[in-house]
Amino acid sequence: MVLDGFALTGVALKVMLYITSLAASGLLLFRLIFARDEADLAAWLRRRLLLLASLGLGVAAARFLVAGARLTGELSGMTDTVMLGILWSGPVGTALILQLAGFALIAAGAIDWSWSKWIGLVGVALLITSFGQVGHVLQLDADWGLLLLLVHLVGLAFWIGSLAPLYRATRRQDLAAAATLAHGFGQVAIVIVPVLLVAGAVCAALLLRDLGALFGTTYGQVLLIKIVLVGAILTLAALNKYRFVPAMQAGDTLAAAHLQRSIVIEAAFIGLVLIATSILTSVLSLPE
Amino acid sequence: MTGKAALALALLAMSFLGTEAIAHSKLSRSDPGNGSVVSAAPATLTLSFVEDIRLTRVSMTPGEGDAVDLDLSNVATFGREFDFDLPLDMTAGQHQVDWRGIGVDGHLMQGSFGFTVEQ
Repeated sequence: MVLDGFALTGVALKVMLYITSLAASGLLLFRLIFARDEADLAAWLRRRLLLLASLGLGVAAARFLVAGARLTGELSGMTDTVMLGILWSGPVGTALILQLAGFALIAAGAIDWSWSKWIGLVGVALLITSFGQVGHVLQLDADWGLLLLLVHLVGLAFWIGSLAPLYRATRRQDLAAAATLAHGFGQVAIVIVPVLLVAGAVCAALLLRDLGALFGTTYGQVLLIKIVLVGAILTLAALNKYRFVPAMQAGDTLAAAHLQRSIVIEAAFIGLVLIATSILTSVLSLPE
Repeated sequence: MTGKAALALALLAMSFLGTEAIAHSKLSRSDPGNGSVVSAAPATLTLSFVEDIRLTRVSMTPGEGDAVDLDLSNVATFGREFDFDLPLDMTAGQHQVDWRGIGVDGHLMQGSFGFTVEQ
């Protein structure tokens, strides 16, 4: 069976769901940690949060309908009440409710930060939890496999959500402010990134069970691609933290341009990681 | 990295996938089996899965002909083994079976296999 158009669409929508939900969650976390006193940055973040939440609502709904089409293999499945009923009554329906509520709460939280940031955080929790409703991790015997996945996703969200504000900072004239923000991100990332990597690695090892499956199965080979991509991202992140940011702190304007380009490349690699993850979680079975 | 380069890498990653494992298939056994040659048209089709699944569509396509959906009204629940009555007027030649369903964990699954009727 070759991957059909509906399955491909499902993979693409899953990537978009990852991007919108993790970026929105990460932006909110970034704002909570770094943008307390910056009205300008806060307004910029609010616009992006609203945009991502709106897109996310559409993507979540579209995924649900396309899942209906995948169950029948025909476009009419998108409006087939029996198929949609099967989806709605199971984990797919639960995940959809969490996603719709999560995006709605993040949008609500973005409107008036002073009192509603906690609403937004509830939205983040719902969105992250939604990814634990459907997937291979549910097949694990260990209950903490799910916890590891959620920890991995929170860390990933913070990382992804930080890219756009950091990129924005490097484009502005105030080099010292950009260096301070990038340094602050590095201080938090040095704690969060190892945690997200360990959580992801343990989760992957639990799912794969046998190291030989990493090379001998399609699931393992896609996972291997993901690992190589993550290695490239970590190399870039190390370059940012230990070379470009210290140079910016020392007043090197060229370093800001390097960091800017590095962030763009990092974002592209993260996009590829999300594509690989979407293939792993949407269309491939775990190795026997 | 430009957007085009990222897209090229993504397509490369997609092309890396084999077509066999792509189906998210968990079919462990079927009767008639995949690739088997049977002397006469079978009266029933049996599908066995390694985990619980709710089938949402099973169709059979003769080598030269239109797909016929099998009746799922008796299998509208999760299970691992399913039997279907096959049409009495099955022709000789190759037949392809396509199935789709959803796992208990919400994963969407699909797969296909074929057999030949000598008759």
